[in-house]
Amino acid sequence: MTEVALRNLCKTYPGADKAVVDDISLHIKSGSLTALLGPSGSGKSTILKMIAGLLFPTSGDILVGGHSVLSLPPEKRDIVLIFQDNLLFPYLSVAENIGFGLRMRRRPKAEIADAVHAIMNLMQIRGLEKRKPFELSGGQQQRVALARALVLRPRLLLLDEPFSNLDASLRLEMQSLLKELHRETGTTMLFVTHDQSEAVRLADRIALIFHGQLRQYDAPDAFYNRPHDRSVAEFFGGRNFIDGTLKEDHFECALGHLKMPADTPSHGSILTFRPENIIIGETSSATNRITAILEGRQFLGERTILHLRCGPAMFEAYSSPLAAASYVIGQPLSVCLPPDSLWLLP
Amino acid sequence: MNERWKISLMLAPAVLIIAGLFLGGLLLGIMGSLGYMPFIGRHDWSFDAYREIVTSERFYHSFLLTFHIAFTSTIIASVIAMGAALVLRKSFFGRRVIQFLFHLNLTVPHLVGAIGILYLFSQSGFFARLAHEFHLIARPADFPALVYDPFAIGIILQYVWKEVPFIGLILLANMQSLSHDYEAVARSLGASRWQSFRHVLLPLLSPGLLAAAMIVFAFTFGAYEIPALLGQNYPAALPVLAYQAFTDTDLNARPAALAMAMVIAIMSALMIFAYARLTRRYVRA
Amino acid sequence: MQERTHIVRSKNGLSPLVWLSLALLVTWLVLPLVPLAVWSVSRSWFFPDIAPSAYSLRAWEYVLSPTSEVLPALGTTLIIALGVTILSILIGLPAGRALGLYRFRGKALIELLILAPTIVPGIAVALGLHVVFLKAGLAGTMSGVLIVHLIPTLPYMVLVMAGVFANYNPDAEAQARSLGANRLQAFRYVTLPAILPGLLIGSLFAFLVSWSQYILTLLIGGGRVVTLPLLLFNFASAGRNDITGAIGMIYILPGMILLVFAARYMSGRNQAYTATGQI
Repeated sequence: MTEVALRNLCKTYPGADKAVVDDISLHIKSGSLTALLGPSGSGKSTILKMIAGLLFPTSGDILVGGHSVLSLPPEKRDIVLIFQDNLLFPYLSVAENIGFGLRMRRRPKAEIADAVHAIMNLMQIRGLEKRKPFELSGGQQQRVALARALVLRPRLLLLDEPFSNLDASLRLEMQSLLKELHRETGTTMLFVTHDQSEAVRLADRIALIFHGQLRQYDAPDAFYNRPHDRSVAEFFGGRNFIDGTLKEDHFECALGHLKMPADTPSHGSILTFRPENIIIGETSSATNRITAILEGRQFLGERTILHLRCGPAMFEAYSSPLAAASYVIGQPLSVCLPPDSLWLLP
Repeated sequence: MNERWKISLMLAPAVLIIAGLFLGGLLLGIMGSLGYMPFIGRHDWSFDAYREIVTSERFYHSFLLTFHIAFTSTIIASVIAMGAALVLRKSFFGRRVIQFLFHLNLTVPHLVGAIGILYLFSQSGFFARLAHEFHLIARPADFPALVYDPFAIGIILQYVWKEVPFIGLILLANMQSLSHDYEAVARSLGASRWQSFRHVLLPLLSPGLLAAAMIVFAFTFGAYEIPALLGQNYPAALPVLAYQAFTDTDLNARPAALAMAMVIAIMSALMIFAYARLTRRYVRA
Repeated sequence: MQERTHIVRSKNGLSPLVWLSLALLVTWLVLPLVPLAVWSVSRSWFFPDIAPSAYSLRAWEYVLSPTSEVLPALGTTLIIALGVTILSILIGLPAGRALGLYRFRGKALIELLILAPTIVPGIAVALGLHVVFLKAGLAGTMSGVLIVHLIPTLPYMVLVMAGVFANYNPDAEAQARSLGANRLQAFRYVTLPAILPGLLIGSLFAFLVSWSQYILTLLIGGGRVVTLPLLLFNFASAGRNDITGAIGMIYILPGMILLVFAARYMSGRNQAYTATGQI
């Protein structure tokens, strides 16, 4: 079992007055694929380096498999960190790069050769054994970096923005490869990214970090439908925030008297809902049906954003481009806000 | 203007001067060492000069001494410089001081260092006086010979003094351009502190280190004034022997002098060649 | 604590042993210069005295007097070093630009030709050249010495400038021209500021390489061109320690002064160091 627990982890760099990592506690399940998500400079990489043993926390503890690893040097932790730049050793061949960790563990040559061969098959990079890193394409380098880590069968694999230097199509390819490798090897993986779409696409759970503090730790869909606060919702592209007051199971605001979902928090004064969950036009449901004026629209290719007004409140909804083209600016539209799509923020 | 012409024009003066002086000097040296010196009326080609020096015990001893000086100085300076660079790259208070002293030392000519070594280590020098102060010796002659000595200790000390900063600064400059993360990756992949130095940092630094060591070896093999000041009369370092033969009133000694100069040139050519062979393994990233 | 921090160690995490070796290193770096300084102001300093028994400025008076050969030698050394530096800039700058900016056939060969003189010792070349300088009437003259000093300095300047231009984007000049600058203005306002730090370092070390040259001066100058290192050597081997000390102090001064001005451009410039092994 390689569950990972961070306990009140803090890191302040010498000479700095603000903590980079500020009291983070997190429990990562064995075999999961978890994302540390946050804007750049939020302390995500520092957390990875502390788990890997490359930095020492100012306070707090890191438990892997139930035991604190703080007293272990990096090479004894059985945790491998893959850096943003793949950092292949330029003077070693591909096979030597992949075999590096095993060589450091003084494994017999034949065993290293077998393990390298097997992992290169798995990663589909056979035939590159003798090449030097600079002779490889970006995707191949990334695969070698992954192979170099996975050949060690670490109990925990850490990835620091692993695909941010790749172009868009290659990034998608590497993302699905990582997902596949995670499924096949069952290795517990923790990766850092600033790209929320990458986190959502890959991770079982996402830890969202702002300014070194943990804001929300949840399954990906919760960040869209059940965000903790307005900054979380905004980070995930939330646009609609409407002030009002909660009256038992209804919310009173400019949009009217809206029925809220059963798990609505008992406190909160800001209503939020995703533009993609709004239903425009006739439906059978009469709950939370309002009329809004179309103020403008913005064609985005695969969808169109409708700018709607209801009394003093403005909000946005997505529509299919074809339907949107049939609406006239200034036209009143019938809009349905399903109760389950609504959420309340403090 | 045509690009090729432009490049040629920009290069021509430098290339002509360097080729003329450097290659010309070498060529005349080779010709002279083979006995062909038209300017002083000698036109016979022969290997006599080379035959003469390889059979001479004097040359043989000089060569061994010079090789010992160059090799020992280069190894000691490289090791100390590497240690110093490893400590200096970590940020701490004394770093700026030492880095400044390294730069300072770089500007001090070898000759001044040699005189300093003389005043420190000669039998009436500072350390001899110190030894006397602590009643370790009674007379200057009791102090071990560290200059004008058969093992060229004074010469080596001077080279180490000058070359540690030289190699150290090259290593530091190389370290600055290297990502620290290479070592972090190695540690994360299971390398111990020593292993990450041995298998990652050292190979990454080796092109710079080898280049520096090569320069130091070639320089220490061919420098004149330091062994001339700090060395014994017999055996003298090869450059000293070559100069003595060249300035001999007997012009018949000239081919041998030039042959010795060619031996020095060949040694440095070997250094360049060895460096090129060794660094080919470490292809640039 | 030290063991627990593994890679990034605390600020004062160096062990006492490391501190001791650093202290030794600092002492060792300064030590050889100390007796020179002390000798230059000592009147009598006999074995086994640790410090001189009497001090005087006699050596300095001699060295700075208009009748001694020291001041003329200082002038000679300075003129040669400055001349060599200026020539190296004029010839080396365009060559460095060509090597740094362009790829062309035979480039590796030219680079080797330029690298070689920074490694092959001067004596190996100068013994062969001597006779030509003699025939050309350049032996024993300042211009002869100046020319022969180009062997170590010019390649060095070319290499430094090639390194500088390798990291230089010539499009900046084209941009300046398109904004209305003429060729000279583009050089003055765009190229020069960009290459100035490298040019300063290159010039500093070209100057110092010439300044510290001994055997080339001795061979080609034939004892008639007397530079400071020649005087220094003579006084040192004659055992005039006080005068040697004073000349030594004068001799190392320019390097130190120049260093103070150039220090901020120095650190981390690999190219700048690699050919300073000749000083």
